[in-house]
Amino acid sequence: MNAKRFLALLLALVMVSACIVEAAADDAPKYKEEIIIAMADEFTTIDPMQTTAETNQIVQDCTHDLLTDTNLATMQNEGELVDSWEMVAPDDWIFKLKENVTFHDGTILNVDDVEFTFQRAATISTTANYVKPIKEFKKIDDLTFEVILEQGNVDFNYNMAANSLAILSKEAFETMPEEEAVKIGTGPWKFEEFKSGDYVSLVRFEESTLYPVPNTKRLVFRMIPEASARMIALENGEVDIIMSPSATDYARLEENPDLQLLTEDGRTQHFVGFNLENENFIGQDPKFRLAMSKAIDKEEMIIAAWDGYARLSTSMMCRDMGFYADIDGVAYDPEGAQALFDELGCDGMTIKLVTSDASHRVKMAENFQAQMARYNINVVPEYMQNSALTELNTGDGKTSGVEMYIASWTPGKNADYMFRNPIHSEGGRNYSHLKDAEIDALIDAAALETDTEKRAEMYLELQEKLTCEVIPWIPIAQNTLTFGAAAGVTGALIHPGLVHQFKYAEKIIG
Amino acid sequence: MYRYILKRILMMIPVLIAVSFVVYFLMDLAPGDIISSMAPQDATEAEIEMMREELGLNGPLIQRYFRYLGNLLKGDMGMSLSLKRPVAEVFFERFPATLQLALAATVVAVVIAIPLGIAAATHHRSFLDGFSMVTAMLGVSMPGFWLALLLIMWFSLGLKWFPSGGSGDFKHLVLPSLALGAGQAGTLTRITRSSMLDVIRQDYLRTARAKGVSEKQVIRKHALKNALIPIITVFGSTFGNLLGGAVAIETVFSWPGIGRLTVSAVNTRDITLATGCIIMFTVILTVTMLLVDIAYAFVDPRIKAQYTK
Repeated sequence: MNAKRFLALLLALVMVSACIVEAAADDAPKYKEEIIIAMADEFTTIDPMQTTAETNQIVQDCTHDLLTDTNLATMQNEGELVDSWEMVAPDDWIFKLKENVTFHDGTILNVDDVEFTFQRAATISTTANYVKPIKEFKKIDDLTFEVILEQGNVDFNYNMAANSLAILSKEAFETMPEEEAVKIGTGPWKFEEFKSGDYVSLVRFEESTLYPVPNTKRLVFRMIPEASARMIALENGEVDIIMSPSATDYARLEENPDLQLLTEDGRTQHFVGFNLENENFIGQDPKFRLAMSKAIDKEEMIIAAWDGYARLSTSMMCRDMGFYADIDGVAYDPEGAQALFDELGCDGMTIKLVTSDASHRVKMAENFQAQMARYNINVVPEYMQNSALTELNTGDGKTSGVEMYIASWTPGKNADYMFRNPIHSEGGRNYSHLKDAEIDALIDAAALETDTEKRAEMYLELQEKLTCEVIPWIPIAQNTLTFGAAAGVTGALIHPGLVHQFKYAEKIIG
Repeated sequence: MYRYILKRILMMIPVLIAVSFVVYFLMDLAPGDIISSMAPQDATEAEIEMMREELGLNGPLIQRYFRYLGNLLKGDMGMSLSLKRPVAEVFFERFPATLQLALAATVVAVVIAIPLGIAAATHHRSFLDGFSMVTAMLGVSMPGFWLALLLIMWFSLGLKWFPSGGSGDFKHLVLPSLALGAGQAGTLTRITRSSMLDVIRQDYLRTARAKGVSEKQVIRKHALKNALIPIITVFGSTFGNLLGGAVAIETVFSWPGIGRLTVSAVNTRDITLATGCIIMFTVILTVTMLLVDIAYAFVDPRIKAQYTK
C-alpha cells in the first residue's frame, strides 16, 4: 500500500514538474523565424572587394567581418576580428587576432587569412587603395601580425575598418572556385541564395564562435526600388523593415501602432559649394563666400529638403566624428549678407548652380534659388545624374563652367578622412578645387600628431578656418536617417555612414 | 518561305550593328561614367586611371567600339562593368522573369480584348459598344504605373488578396500582369473592333448568312479569321515591346526583369551591359516581328501563296 502511495506521489510530482517545465518553456520568447528587409537599391555581389556600394556592404556586414569596426553604441573604432592592437610608432602597428574565430567553411581564422586578404585587395582596383600604405606585412605568430607603413598614420586602425577589406578565408580560395570562396566569412550569417534583382537571403551561422546564435533563422533582403511600394509592403506585413522610407510617410509610420519609425542622425554633410578655380566667378573672393554663408537660412532649407528631419550644421566637420568641436560657425545674418553683397556689387547677378537630380538636392537648389532671389541674385540650377555631377566636379575647375554646386560628403571613420578628400589639394573629392598650402599643411600635420590634445587643437583650427574664413563650401545640415519597421522589431541599427547593421534584427512574436 | 526567313535574319545583322553603334556612342557621350560611381571616394587620379584600364575604358572611343563590335560578332557581349559578370549571363538570368510577365500580360490582354472587341463590333453603336470603347480608352490612356499603384492599394493593401510586389508564385504575377496587360488590352480591343467592323460588312459574310450559316459560325469561322491580320500585327509589336521590359511596372512591383536591369545599367553608365541589353531587345523584337510575319501565312492563304511563288 505504501509502495503504491509512494508511486502515485512520485507520478504526481513528475507530472507537476513536467507542467512547470512546459510553462517555463512557454514563457520563453518566440521569435519570428524570418526577417525581411526591403532595400531601395539592388544588391549585386557578395564579394566585399568588388564593390563600394552601401547596399552590398549592408549584406556583407552580416556575412563577413572586418579587423576593426565602428561600435554603433559608442561610435568608437573597436576590434571586430582583432583582439587588440598597438601603435609601436605611427608607421609600425601590431595587431592580435581573436582566438578560435570560425569561418563558414569550418576553418579557423589566422594571420595567413589576413595576409591573403591584403594580397587579394592589392590586385583589385577598388581595394588597392586601402592596402597601398602597407610597406611590409610580418607574421609574428598565428594570431599576431605587424604592419610597417610607407608613412606614419596615427589612424591606421580606421583603415582596417573599410568594408571592402572584410577578411576572407585563404583555405576557401584554395579549395573552392572564387565565386564560392568569396561567400565564406566569419559573420553570424551565411550566404544562402541570390536572385538577381529580387532578393538575397542569409541563414544563421549556428557554429559561430565569435557571435551568439541569432534568434532569427533567416534574413532576407528584398529589393523594392519604389518608396511607396516599400511602405505598402511594410503595412501589408510582407516585409519587417524598410530602408529609406519617403519623408511623406513618416507620419503614417509614427501614427500606426503596428509600425515604428526608427531614426538616427546621419553622418552625411550636405553643403553648398563654390568652384574656386573658375576665374570668371566672383566666388573666388572670400568676402563673397562669407556673404553667402551669412545669407543662407539653413533652418528654412532643412524644412524644404527634409521636412525638418535634419540637424543644422555650424561646422564643416560631421558631428559624430572624433575631434568634432561644436563651433558657432557663421550665423544667419541677412542684413550682414546684404551689406557684403552690396559692397561687392552683386545686385542682379546670375549664378550657375549644378547639382544632382536626387530629390533632396533638387529641393535644396530650389530653396537656395528662392532665398537668393531675396538678395536680388538670380540662381540658375542645373540638374544632372550623380555620376555626371561627380565627373563635372572632379574635372578641370577652370573649364567646367561650374560656379556653385550642391553636394554631400559622407566621411569614413576618422577625422583625417573627413578633411583629406574634400578639402586637401590632392583630395579625390575636392569639388571646390581648393588649393591652400596652409590648410594642406594643417591636415597633414594633424594626421601625424600622436598627442591627442594637440591634435584636437589642430582640428579645431581647421574647422574654424574652413567654416568661417576659407569657406570652400557652406555646411548646411546632416540629415536624419530613417527606417520603417513593424512594431516589435529590434536589432536593426542605423549606421550614420550608411552601412546599416542587421546582424541581430529580430522580432518577438509571442 | 525559307528564303524569306533567311533574308529577314540576314537583315537583322546591319540593324544590330547600327543599334550597337548608336547605343555605344550615346552611352559614351552622356556625361558621367561608371568610374565615378565605382571608385572609392578617396581614389587618386592614378587609381582611377588603373580602374579605367582594368575596365577597358581607356583609349579612343572608336577603337573601343570596334573592339566591342569584334567581340559581339563572335557572340561575346562582354563583361558587365558594374557587376563584373558576362552580360549574356546577367541578361538571361533576368529574362525569364520578363518573359513570364510579358506572356501573362498578353494572356490578360487577349482574354479581355478579343471578346470585348468582337462584342463591340457585333453590337455596333449599342451600349455594349460604348462600354467596350470607354473601357478600351481607359486601358490605353491610364498610365501603367498609376494603375499599378491603384491595384496594389485595392487588392494588396485593402483586400490582401495578392502580394504588393516581388516574384515567386502565381499570386505575385497577378497584379503586375493586370497592370501591364490593361494597356495592351485597350489597344487590342480597339483594333479588334475596327478590324471586325471592316470584315462584317463584306459581301462574303452576307452570302454566308444567306446560305443559312448561324451567326456564331459567321463570326467565329469567317469574320474573326479574316480580321486577325491587323490584330496579329499590333499584338506582335506590343508583345515585342513587353519583352523589352516594362520599366515602370517592374519598378512598382519590384519585378526582377530586364527593364529594371537596363535602366540600372544606363544610370550606372555600365556601357557594355546597357548596350548588350538593348541589342538583345532588338534581336527579340525583330524575331518577334518575323514570327508575326510568318503567322500571317497561317491565317491568310493569299500571303502563303506569295511566299511559295
